[in-house]
Amino acid sequence: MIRKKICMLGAFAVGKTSLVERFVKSLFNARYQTSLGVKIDKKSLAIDGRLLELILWDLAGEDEFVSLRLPYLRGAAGLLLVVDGTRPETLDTALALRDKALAEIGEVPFAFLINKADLTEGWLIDPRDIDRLVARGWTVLETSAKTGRGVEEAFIALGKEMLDE
Amino acid sequence: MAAGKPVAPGADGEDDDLGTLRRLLLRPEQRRIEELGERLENPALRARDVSRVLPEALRLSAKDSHALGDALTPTVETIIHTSVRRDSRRFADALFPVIGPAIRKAMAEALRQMLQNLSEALEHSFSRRGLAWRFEAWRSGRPFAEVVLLHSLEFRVEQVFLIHRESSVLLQHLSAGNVACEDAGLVSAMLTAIQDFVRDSFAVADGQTLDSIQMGDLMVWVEQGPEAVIAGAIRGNAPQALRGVFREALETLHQQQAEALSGFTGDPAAFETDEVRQTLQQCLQARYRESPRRISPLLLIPLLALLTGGGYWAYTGLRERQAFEAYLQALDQTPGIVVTRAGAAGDGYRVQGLRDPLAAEPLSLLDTQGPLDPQRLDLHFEPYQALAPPFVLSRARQLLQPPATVSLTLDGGVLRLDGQAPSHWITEARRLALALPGVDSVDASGLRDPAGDELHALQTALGGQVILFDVDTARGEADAQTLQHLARDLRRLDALARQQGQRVRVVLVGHSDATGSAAHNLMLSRQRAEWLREQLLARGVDPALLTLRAAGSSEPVSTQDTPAGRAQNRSVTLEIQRMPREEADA
Repeated sequence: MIRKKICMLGAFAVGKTSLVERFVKSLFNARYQTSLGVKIDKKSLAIDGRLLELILWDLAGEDEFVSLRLPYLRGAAGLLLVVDGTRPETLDTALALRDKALAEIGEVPFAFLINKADLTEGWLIDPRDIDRLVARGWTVLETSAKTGRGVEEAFIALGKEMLDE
Repeated sequence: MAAGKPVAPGADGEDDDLGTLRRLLLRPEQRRIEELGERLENPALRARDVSRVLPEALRLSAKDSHALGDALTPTVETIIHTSVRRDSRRFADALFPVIGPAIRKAMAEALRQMLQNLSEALEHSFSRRGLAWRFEAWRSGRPFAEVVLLHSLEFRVEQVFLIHRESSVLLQHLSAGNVACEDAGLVSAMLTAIQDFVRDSFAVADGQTLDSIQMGDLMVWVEQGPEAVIAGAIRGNAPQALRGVFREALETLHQQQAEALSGFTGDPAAFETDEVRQTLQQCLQARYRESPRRISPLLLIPLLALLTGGGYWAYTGLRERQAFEAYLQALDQTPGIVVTRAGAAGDGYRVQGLRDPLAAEPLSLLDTQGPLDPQRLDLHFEPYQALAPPFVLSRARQLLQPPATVSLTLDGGVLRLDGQAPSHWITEARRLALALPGVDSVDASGLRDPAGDELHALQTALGGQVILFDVDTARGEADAQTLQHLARDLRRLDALARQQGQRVRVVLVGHSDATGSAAHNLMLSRQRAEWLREQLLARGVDPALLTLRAAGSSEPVSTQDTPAGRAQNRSVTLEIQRMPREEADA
């Protein structure tokens, strides 16, 4: 079995916590996130016959009032960057968070999760922006907090990348 | 000024005016003062006023101090006394709804306390420490439960986490016995998060870490190393010395697992070893207010030796007793041995009894390789004669020494002898056997003596032999074959006699006819006997067997009056003499 720490980052209210809620084992109350600035859950996966236990650090969303607590990133082996598909500015935040995080902890695998994919009518992010991410060879997945679509895949994609490291 | 009232001169006008003014200005107040005065003077009104503020006043007074309560207590007590004295039933009625629950509650509490004490007492009663505490309670005169409480747990490390410092990933986790644990992987991450949070939220100098979290009687101690962190969840008050234990364990782990720690990429398998567990196990300490005194290992060695020795002694003793019992049984089952008394005696065992000398040797029945040392056996057997048939027969054989051709059987008290034996043995056996205990009579009808018969026949035949000689010669007429046969028969006779335990002597008696002088005849008869002896010796006859006698014509075999008779008298005859061995030897 392999244990890895991963961090989930994103702008405020992009729905990170509710996105992974039903895919992880929770021990601690969600209140911890508002008090400590982080909520820790566990996600177990089997990838190519290997057991992978991800300790998921769900970091409080960043906005102009709350900034990223860099110490929480220490030792992370991967990043999940969550973007709200209906708020184009959250993509910019995610990109900024990525740069900040990688500057802090060095190059680690990461994946962008474009959330709320079920509200495609309200989709406001320019598809070309997403294409640009893909073009850079980055992992981008569309996810839905409502249906859970894409979440498991996101964990697997990131897990694979980390195991290949 | 029109006023009906007289006023003082010089001041009247002023008084009047002032009074009027006063009346005008102060009438309402005046009236109020009068009212107040009346309220103060009039007890009924005053009581009404006080009754209005009394509840609030009491409330306020009770809130600020106990003075009111203290002041009221004697009164209330008196009231209650008076009330109870006056009408106790009323008081009882008032208390009725509360008295039941109150008693129940009190009893439940008392029972709970008692059960708790009991369970603690039971828990501690049967352990070594529990007994020591019981002794202490007896010695000090304190209740046992109190002693138990005094000695109860001071602190216990309930869980130990070994956490990779950089990634906060859990490497190993141990918990004490029955402690319920949450997901240790998550807890270790959370501990790290709390550390980060504290460091990030408060101004903490670089390199400083959060090394203790306390909540009530639970503490989390965190010991930081360069690569790994040990966190221990401790209940109670742990001494600072425990820090040293944590630090030491952490240092050991850094030494032992240096490579695994620095190269850690998420696989905790490297830390799933007994070595790591043992190191962490040292942190899982618990201490009681008075730690039970340890027995020194030095003391343990003689104790262990004593125990082992005692056990061995008891074991060998048991095995020896079992072997002795088995030996007694073997003795008892052996014919010719009767055990009359047996048991442990002194350092060993003593057996007394009777033994037929023909019975098996008692010590030969003991397994010398067994646990019973023959040296520790004291055997005393008086000799006796067993009358069981095997012993009677055995004794008969010993006494009678029968030849191999004879079989002995015992039928009731009758000793039967069957087979072939020399007659002298038969005679002797008949006589001796009757002297044997257990033999009432002897039946020898089944015995034959073929050698005796043959000897007898041979003796008769040889006794009739006449070797003839011509007139006046000492050379026999008998041919070589006759002489050969004669010599053979003599040898056979000798052998048979020896077989029978006898000796024979063969006298060669020389004869002559009556013609010629007596002296000549005597000489001639001697020469004839000598000749025959020569012939026989030449044919292998033992010289000791033969003796000579010259009879001359004095012992004629036949008549001297006829030629045929005289021919018979010119001869040598054989006289067979049988004699007992002793005589023959002599």
